[in-house]
Amino acid sequence: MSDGQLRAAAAAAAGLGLAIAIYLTYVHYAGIEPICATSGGCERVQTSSYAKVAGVPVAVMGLIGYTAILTATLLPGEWPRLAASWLALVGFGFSLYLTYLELFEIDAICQWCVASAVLMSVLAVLTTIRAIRSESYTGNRAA
Amino acid sequence: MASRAEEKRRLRAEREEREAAAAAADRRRRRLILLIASAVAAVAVVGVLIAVSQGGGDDESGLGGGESIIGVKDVAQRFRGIPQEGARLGDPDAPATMLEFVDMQCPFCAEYTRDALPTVIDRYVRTGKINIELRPISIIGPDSSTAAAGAAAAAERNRMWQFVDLFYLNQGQENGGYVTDDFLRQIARGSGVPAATVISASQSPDSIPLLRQSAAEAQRDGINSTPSFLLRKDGELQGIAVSSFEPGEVTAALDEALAK
Repeated sequence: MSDGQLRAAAAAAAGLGLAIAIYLTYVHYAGIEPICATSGGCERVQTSSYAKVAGVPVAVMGLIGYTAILTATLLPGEWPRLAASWLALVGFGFSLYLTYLELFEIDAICQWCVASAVLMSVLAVLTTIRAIRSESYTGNRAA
Repeated sequence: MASRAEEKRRLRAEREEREAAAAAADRRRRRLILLIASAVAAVAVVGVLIAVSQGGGDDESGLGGGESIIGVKDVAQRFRGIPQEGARLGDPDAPATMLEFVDMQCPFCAEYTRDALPTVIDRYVRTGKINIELRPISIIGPDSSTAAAGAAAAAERNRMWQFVDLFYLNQGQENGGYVTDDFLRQIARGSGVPAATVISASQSPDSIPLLRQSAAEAQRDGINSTPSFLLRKDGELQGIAVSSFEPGEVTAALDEALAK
């Protein structure tokens, strides 16, 4: 897979994640129930006491996170690559924790959250590959 | 002359290659360190996020990190997969309903829930033989109403059984003043109920329909101690004579009532 393809795939995953986060943020502030495949699962997750971290809704954190990853993926240069990978790793770790909460603490599952967790895992892999590879690429070009 | 110049060029080329290789190795090493540091920092940030999330998920939370409740996982496990609606646990179409009158401050209610309820759930509720409805009433003191109001708020979210069970596991002395907002908040969080709704309900227990209904039924059926159990079958109510909270004794009493 070329770097261009990796970048396009990462941008697409971040874009999808951003769309989900925008929807969940809207649902959160509009006070309506998200469209949900599991009966009441999404509402239960979104209204659970874990739906906010220090007063910030998790949906808003997702919004900020995906925007930052998308921006870093689209920007040229070394540092944005590293930043994208770092942000995606943080997002991946936090998604793992949130999925654990859904399964074992809140005892309800929400397909939007699962979709976001899958996208974040994909992003962590793609952006980390880009961050690791970039040195050899610039090295090749220099040679 | 030509060969000397060539030799010079060759040596210079070799030197440059060595320097380039060394520089590349240096860049690789720095990059690896950067990536490892970045991964470590990512783990640290996630750890902080988790700590913050555990310490106070709600706007109004004033909890410190030190306080904690026990039994969250056990309770989640106990009720996993059992339908719940309002105060009812179990199949809505079950042929009989056990009414359980409780005062949440009462240590015997906690003892029954700890010792016998798991057996009742496994043998009668999960198998669809009965469902159980909770009737929280207030006998011991004002904190009983506060706790019952919290349970009623949890019932609105169909999490009443987790809330009450977790409350019992962390129960304090009767009228000991432990039913504070912080305590309720922790029980709410542990049972997956928005803490704000529990706190708000606990401030006005008298206006809650489930509590008024429970009090009215208790009065009508002469319930004056907790826990007390009634069985509703084919539209008729009868008492269940539970003499101890040994699971065998409870199931025997329940079988006897069901057979009538």
